[in-house]
Amino acid sequence: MNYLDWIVLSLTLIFVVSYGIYRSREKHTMDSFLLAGKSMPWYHVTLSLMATQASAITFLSAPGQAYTDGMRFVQFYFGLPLAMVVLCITFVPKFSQLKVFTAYEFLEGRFDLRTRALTSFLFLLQRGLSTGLSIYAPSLILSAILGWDITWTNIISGGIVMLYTISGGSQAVSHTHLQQMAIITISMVVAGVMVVKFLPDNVSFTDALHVAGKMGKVNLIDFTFDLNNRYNVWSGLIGGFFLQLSYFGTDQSQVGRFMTGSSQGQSKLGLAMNGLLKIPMQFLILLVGVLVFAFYQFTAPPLFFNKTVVDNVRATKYSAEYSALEKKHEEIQAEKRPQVLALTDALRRGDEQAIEASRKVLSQMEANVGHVRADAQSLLSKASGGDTNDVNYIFLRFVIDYLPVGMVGLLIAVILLASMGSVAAAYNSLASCSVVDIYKRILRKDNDSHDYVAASRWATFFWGIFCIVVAQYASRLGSMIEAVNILGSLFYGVILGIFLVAFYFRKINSRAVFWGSIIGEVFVVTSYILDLTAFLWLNLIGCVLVIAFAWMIETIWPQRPSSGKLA
Amino acid sequence: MEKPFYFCLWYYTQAHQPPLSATPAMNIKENSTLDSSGLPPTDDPRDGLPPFLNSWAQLYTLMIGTLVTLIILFYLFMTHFQ
Repeated sequence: MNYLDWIVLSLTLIFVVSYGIYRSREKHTMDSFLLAGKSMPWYHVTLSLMATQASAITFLSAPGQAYTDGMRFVQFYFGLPLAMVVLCITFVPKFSQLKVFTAYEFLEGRFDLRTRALTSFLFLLQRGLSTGLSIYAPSLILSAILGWDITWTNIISGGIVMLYTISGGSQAVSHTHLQQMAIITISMVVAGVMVVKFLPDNVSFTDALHVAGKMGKVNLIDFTFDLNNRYNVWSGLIGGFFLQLSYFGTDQSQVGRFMTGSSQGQSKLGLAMNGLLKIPMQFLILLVGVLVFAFYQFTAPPLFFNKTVVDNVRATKYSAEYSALEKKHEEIQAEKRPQVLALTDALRRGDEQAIEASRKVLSQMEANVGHVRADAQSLLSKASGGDTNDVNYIFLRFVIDYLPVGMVGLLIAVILLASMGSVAAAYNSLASCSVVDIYKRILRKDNDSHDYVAASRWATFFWGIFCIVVAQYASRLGSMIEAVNILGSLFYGVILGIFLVAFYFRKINSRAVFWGSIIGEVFVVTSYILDLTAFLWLNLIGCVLVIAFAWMIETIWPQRPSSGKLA
Repeated sequence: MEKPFYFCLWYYTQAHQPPLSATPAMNIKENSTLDSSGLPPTDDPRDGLPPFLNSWAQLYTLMIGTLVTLIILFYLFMTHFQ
């Protein structure tokens, strides 16, 4: 990176962190430290929810995914608006009326302390581990592309977040989220505009989309119902609905964000706007990836986008073999370019026959590129044994290779800010659960507010260190995205099941739901270990099992509700 | 058409909820350092509602309508460029 990039990167990070600390410099109470004093307007809530959900991988992986697989990933978010409606109608009123700090606090009122403690424990375990992975994932990519030391990248990115989360708590998190989302959105739009500018002079924005479309990358909608197809309208609407409902309704890192709303109405509007804005935002990120794909139809892309792995293979006996594959790849790309220009020309003329002929030739050439890339990946795997999936590296490699000085620093800042946004919300939620559900509820019931604020700061520090340590060991877990999703799938379904029983099954009592969730969790973990199903289905299985077992236990072994309970 | 749906969802939620007035096992708002009067009111049904809408049900309908519109627009976008 150039000096100017370093200056832009440093100033952006310093500005965001300083602003967050400045805006949250007041003397804190528990309310202000853990829920930002319930003072946030709806737009803060919306941007905070979006910044928490959007990790660095969203901005690195999604354009790469559009490049390789097209835009069909957008369908994954179709269940989100529906989940937001259910949250606004059911979850928000209940949490607001009971004035809870954590989602799990509600479960004690509905069931008992042990159900609250169990759910909170499952959340702490899952969120603590997955936040470590959230720190590690961008560090891995930045260290590979820029040659940064991964240990220090983990420590610095995780440490900066600790700094303002310990200092300003939830207020600092919300204020930094606002800045982060503004910088991220502007930078991604600028990046998209620059990709279009880099296209050849006679190729317009719509020409680029037509080229990408003819090569199958604008595959936004698939109405086919196919259980084996991960992204179609139905899996997005049904599977996505359950996933988003459990994530936003039962994960404290999101519950803690919408509970910062200054009123129930502001929280609901914040969630509703999140439901409205998320899909267009994801569409735009994927569109940037498709434009990068179109750009590389006119300019030869690298054979493999992760430069570190390529540099490693060059130092082995496979170097000559790799160079031969590179040469073959360059030849195909050189042959492709006139065909792409012919397609663009035919599109302008509206010559359907020529369009179809060019499309067929290009499809064949694209298949040949795929074969060469597969050979290269197999060679790289043989040479270094490392990860040969370069989807996460495509966009960043484009940024480093083509964007002007200054923009590179800004986009690296975007990646770090996106990571910091989700990690900050996670630290704050981990501290909330540790203090509210364990320290205050079980260990020190009657201390004063200052003690709990101090405990929250120590809890944030502890979880910050824990997550950075997990990040250091994360390289042993394989694919990052998959590891995060697997971790979530192991716990989310069971936690959602507990909440659905709490909301909709009045006759089921605490004993049944407690043992139902233990049995459900054992089944989910066993299903995963024995590889009985794809991990995404574990969300639905866990949820259904908790409800079914709790209902069965209540039927066979009914519990008389105690008069003191809400149920 | 949307009103019966939201009413049913609301009614089911309310009917299967414990009454808030019941004495809970835990102290509601057990952790808050503010008293309830220090918190913003949450019972105004129009609070937070955009001025051009009359009810939350309309907002939810707008969200679902936007989702359907987006799916249609994406489909048209796809067919146009493919």
